[in-house]
Amino acid sequence: MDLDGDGLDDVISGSYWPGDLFWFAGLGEGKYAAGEKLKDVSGKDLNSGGTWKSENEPDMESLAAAPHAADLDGDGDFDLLVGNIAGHVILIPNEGTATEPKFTGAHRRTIQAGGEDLRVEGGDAGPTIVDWDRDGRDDLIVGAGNGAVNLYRNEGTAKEPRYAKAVVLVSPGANYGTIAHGSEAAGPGMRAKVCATDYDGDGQLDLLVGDFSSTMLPEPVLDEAQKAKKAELEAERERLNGEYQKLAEKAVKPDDPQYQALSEKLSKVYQDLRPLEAGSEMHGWVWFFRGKAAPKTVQR
Amino acid sequence: MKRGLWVLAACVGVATSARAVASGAGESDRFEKPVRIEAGGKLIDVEIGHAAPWVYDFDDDGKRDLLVGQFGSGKLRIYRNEGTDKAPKYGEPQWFVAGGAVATVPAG
Repeated sequence: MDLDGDGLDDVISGSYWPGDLFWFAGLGEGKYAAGEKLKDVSGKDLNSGGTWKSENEPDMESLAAAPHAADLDGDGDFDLLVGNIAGHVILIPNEGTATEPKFTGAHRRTIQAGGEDLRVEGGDAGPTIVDWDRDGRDDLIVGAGNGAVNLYRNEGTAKEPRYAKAVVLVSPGANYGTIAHGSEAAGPGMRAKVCATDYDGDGQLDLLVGDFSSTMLPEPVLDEAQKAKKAELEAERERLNGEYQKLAEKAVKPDDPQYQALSEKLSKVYQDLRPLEAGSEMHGWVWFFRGKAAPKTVQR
Repeated sequence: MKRGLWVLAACVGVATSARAVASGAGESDRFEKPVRIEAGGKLIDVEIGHAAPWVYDFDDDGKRDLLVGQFGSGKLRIYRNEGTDKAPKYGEPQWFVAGGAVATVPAG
């Protein structure tokens, strides 16, 4: 993907906090320049946030940016599609040219599918563009926070894509991507990130799905006193989480001191519980979904 | 501290919505049963998870390689294809280097 049309492929990346977008310009001979933040035409950092805010006040929606560059309006330059933590996919059109990209944050728009704002379950949208049904029009595939992968067929044109509502290609991960001790993972857990390609060169499109999963370690053996302590701490955790949920439902702002106070109490409870509970290990695997040939329709 | 607050809120949201889910397998009429890709004889497993794969001929040798982003330090792994396009085979990865250093993006 050559973002600045200089004949040398570049690398782009999103990031978690506050969701800036980075460009590593290709220099040829396998070398790349140090990463630069992609900028809006006004010089501000570009991101996918719902409301345009100053650099000192990151918009919470724009976290966990996952970009994909593709020509989405058929004008010969790379536009940016950015998935974010809210589960939306934001289009930032390139209003420059193939050799001089120009992005204006204020001209962002939320991609729609089936006539409404596209939003994947569990947030953390990870979009990619590919002509999945091979009808000459690029479709949209999006990995979701709950581990699912959805296909949004383009029912419009290359210049004006119009995406249909979701068709599930990969079902959500089981049990929030947590695998019991002694079991094996059967498929992607959470936060699916997808590459659609013919991975094994057999002429069929496949999916590669990266994930986030956790495997549980064995439960520790506890004496009666420890079991009682654990039950007490679990009840306290439940109570504090309930209070946290109530604040969130009342849309109390994230910087309110009530959150801070609750957070500190919760941290202590989690810390005390840790030696009494089974621990877990984090994983990020790459799952290969080999595409089967479509069944032939019978001609009558 | 702010990030901790946000992650906790997001987790509460996910727990409510993901209650009744099926297994993580793909639609069985579209795909074979999924398998995890290996490199150097073991499963590719990135630090702090959040693997983000991309297929691309990185070393320009005519064979498609595998790039995998990770949450850990916001780095990117390059798995060079030591096999063929039809039967890819990978060894140990190298980190993506840019501007003379291992490239990173902010991971919070």
